[in-house]
Amino acid sequence: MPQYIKYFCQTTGDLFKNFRRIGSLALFDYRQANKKMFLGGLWKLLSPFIQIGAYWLVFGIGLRSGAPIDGIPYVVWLTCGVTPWYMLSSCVGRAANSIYGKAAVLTRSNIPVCIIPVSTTLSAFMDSGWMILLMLVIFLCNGCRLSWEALNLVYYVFCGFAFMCALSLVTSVLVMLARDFQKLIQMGMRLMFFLSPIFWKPGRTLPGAFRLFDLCNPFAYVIRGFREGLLFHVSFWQSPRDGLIFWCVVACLYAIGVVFQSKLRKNLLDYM
Amino acid sequence: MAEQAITLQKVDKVYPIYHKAAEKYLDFFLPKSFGQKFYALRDITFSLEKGTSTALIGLNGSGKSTLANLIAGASAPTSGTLIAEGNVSMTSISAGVSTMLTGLENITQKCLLLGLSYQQIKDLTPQIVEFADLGAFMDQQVKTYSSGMRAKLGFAISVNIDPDVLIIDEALSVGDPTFTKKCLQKMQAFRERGKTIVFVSHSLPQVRDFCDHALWLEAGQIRSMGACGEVTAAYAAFIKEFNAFSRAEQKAYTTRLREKQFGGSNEPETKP
Repeated sequence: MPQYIKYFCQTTGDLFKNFRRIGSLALFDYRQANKKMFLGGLWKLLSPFIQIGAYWLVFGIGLRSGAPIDGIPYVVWLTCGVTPWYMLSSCVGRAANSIYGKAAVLTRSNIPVCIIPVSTTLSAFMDSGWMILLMLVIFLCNGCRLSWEALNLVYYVFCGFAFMCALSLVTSVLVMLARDFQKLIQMGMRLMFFLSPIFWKPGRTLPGAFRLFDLCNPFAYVIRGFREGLLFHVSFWQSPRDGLIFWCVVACLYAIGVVFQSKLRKNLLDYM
Repeated sequence: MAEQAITLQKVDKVYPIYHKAAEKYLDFFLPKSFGQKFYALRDITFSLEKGTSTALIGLNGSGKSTLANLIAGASAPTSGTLIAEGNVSMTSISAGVSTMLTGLENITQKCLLLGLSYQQIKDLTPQIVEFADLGAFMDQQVKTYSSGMRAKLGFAISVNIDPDVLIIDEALSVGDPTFTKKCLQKMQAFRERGKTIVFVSHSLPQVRDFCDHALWLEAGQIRSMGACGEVTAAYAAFIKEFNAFSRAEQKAYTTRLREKQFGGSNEPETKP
């Protein structure tokens, strides 16, 4: 047990001591991301448009098939769920490969490895800023008005960031350990897409076991939070139970992550 | 009494040798250890004074690079204590550069990883570019570089970030004589400023030229250590003797050495 406390202190200390390094690395990654592409920085806007814009075209302009949900146009309701989902899911993949992708540069130096997944997460969230902006544009274009409860987004983006940091500490080590985990993570995310309330709304008809899963699903917490804040004017402190469960899940992930990171740091070379 | 830059006390480095793929994963996830012990380094005790240059010599697989990695902080000793004063920078053949980035981007990334700020990097870059002397290739992706050019870039970065301890792991062996000379001059200037150098090389003339101490490793243990001239002479005599052996004798010799490095199963000897 004292060993685990040591692990915890080591990784947490590394993260806090190096927060400036994490920030500048994230900025470097953010600027670097689309440099090699012909359209360059334009992709920062294009890729969220392709991701969200497709739904908007199909459900908003094109088909208009979805009936309004709780009086909210379906396209707006959908966009408010799809955006946080892409914010998280695009981050999961990038962060999981973060250490593996930089392994060549990292191996022969005393760089604290745990800063890499966190800085990658941060740069993914910088990219997501553009997507949230696009979401707000669609939101306003459909005649919805922003209320002060929209400020809840700041809290939920922070929640998503904390969750992604904790998760990335775990996944980035797993991918180093065996490439199989890349595939497993991809598959897991595909499952989560359907298991999280993006296209559907949890109702009373759900079986009990699934309701429990939904309650503990951190993706669902962030997605629901986005919707409630923007569309239904509900603030996060009005559902303290959900928040408590969410932060417990994040804390558990972080606890596993620090142990993994410390084990990896001792012997990064061995896992190449 | 001169200050010590690097102090090692009874340092062991044990690598687990896994006979089944599953052992690697069990070893990572369970507190119990799996696999067979291989002593890459055993019972290493020495210290290096500030402002000295020490050569690490020995046959392939004798533990030179492992020792260099330990001093650089790239991996941690299994037991024993290692104290390195100040920043340590290591440069090696696989120069620790990303092939997808350009030379300039590599400079920025590496320096950011090492914890420098954007301002510091801006100040340092001209110096590094000047030293690497890659001309127009500085803006090209490193994948277009020859192995010599990669080594130049890696060396230029490692030297110019002004570390207190510089470790050169066979990095000069790929450069042409003109670049080697430039590097040796830079290292000389470095030493005169009271910095410490650890030089891993198979080139005895270079070692004799440049180092004042030498440490001869054999099968993970110190075979001899002392003034550069004496140790290299003894090593050269050993090489001559070894080469005069018949094939069978050579094989018997190396097998005997290797066997000494294996120690039972990978269980910790004392319970934590």
